[in-house]
Amino acid sequence: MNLDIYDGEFIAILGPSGCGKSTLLDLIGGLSTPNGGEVKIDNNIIEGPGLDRGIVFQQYALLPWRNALKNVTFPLEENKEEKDPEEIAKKYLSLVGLTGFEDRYPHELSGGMKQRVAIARALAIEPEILLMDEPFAAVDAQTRSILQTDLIKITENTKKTVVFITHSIDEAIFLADRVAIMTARPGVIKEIVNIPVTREYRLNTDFKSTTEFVRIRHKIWELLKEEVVKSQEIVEKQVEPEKILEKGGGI
Amino acid sequence: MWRLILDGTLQINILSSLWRVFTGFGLALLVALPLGFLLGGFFKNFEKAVNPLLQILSQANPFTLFPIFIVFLGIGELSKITIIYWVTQWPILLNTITGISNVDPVLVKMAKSSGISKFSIFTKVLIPASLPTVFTGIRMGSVFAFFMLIGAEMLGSTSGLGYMIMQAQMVMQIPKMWAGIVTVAIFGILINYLILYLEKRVSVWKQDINV
Repeated sequence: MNLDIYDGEFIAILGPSGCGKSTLLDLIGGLSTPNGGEVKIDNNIIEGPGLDRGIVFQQYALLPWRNALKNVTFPLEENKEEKDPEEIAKKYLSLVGLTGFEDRYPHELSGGMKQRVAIARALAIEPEILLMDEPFAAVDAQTRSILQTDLIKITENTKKTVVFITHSIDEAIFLADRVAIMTARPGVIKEIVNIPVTREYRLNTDFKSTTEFVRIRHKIWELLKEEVVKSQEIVEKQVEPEKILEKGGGI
Repeated sequence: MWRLILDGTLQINILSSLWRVFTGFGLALLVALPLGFLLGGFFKNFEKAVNPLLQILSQANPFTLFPIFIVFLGIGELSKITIIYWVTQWPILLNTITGISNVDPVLVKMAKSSGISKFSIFTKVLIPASLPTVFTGIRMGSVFAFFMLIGAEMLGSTSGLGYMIMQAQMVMQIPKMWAGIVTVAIFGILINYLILYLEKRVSVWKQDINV
């Protein structure tokens, strides 16, 4: 597959489950190495994880024995040059709207707040690229909506490049400058749809209710639909009904 | 019981018992904790290979092994301390391995992506995340240690609480026997509470998840 991501853009990656969206993110993040081909940032091949990329995981991945502040300082502690990790952590916690919650432990925070802490942590290492793996999939719809608007504001303020993996077409259109649609296995980029809307417009109007939004959604859904059907077929071919029975036979 | 305390019999027996239990238990902590952390954290494949062996060894009834220990180590303190150590190390070792292996992989992934060194991942992620399970092992170990202590002292010893109970029973000093039993029970409860307290201090964050 071939995909160019430009500096400062917000790109969403949509695709049927199992097509390798998360694998793609792991590759960019340097958490796994490609079987073939290469991933480059500014012409440098990625050889491992680095501080130029911050990752936000779907499952928050907060350390439950550290409070919000200490969770954000976690990636900074290793970096001896950082004079005052706590100062940086406070700055980013306030950026994600969590001032006053520094002392709270993850179990004392709601799902949305936990993900805000995780975003602050990813931003705290001051990466050029923010990699987000279905970050809002585990929060409720209203919180999700608020997190989306806040994420637009944060990307606008920090000028980060964002790679955002999602299942949700609406989320992809609402957030991204470009939406890349992946095919069912083997996952390659099928098409890239431009969303020619400014961030300001997204924040200040009810973008989701416009005809433009609906038109793009329809277009993307048409593209995605075949792939979802195909991926279902792949799954069915792999696991035949008898096998399912066999697996459940241990009762 | 007061008379036993006054003439010092109880204290002497308590001391020799506690010495045995703490040495055995301490040895087990010293060996099993680092070993468990290493096996679970750094040598996963090796751990998988030796796990069946560990399971078999841990299942071997220690009372059946006691004669072997006596043959090799004599009837003195060494064999008693060794058998206590032997019994205690299994729950600690196995729980430590389980604790480390069950750490949420996404936490490790997160740490790796933050460019954190392997050693720091170990000390800052794996160890704290596994502590609740490790402490369960330590608590089980302490119970086993007392079990084995009394057993070993009853089987072959000339001092200690187990010996005192056994000897009192043989010469029909029933109150002395009861005094011994009550003392053992009190120590068991005390130790258990001490470890529970430590466990709570270390894993406050786990509490709310369990409720």
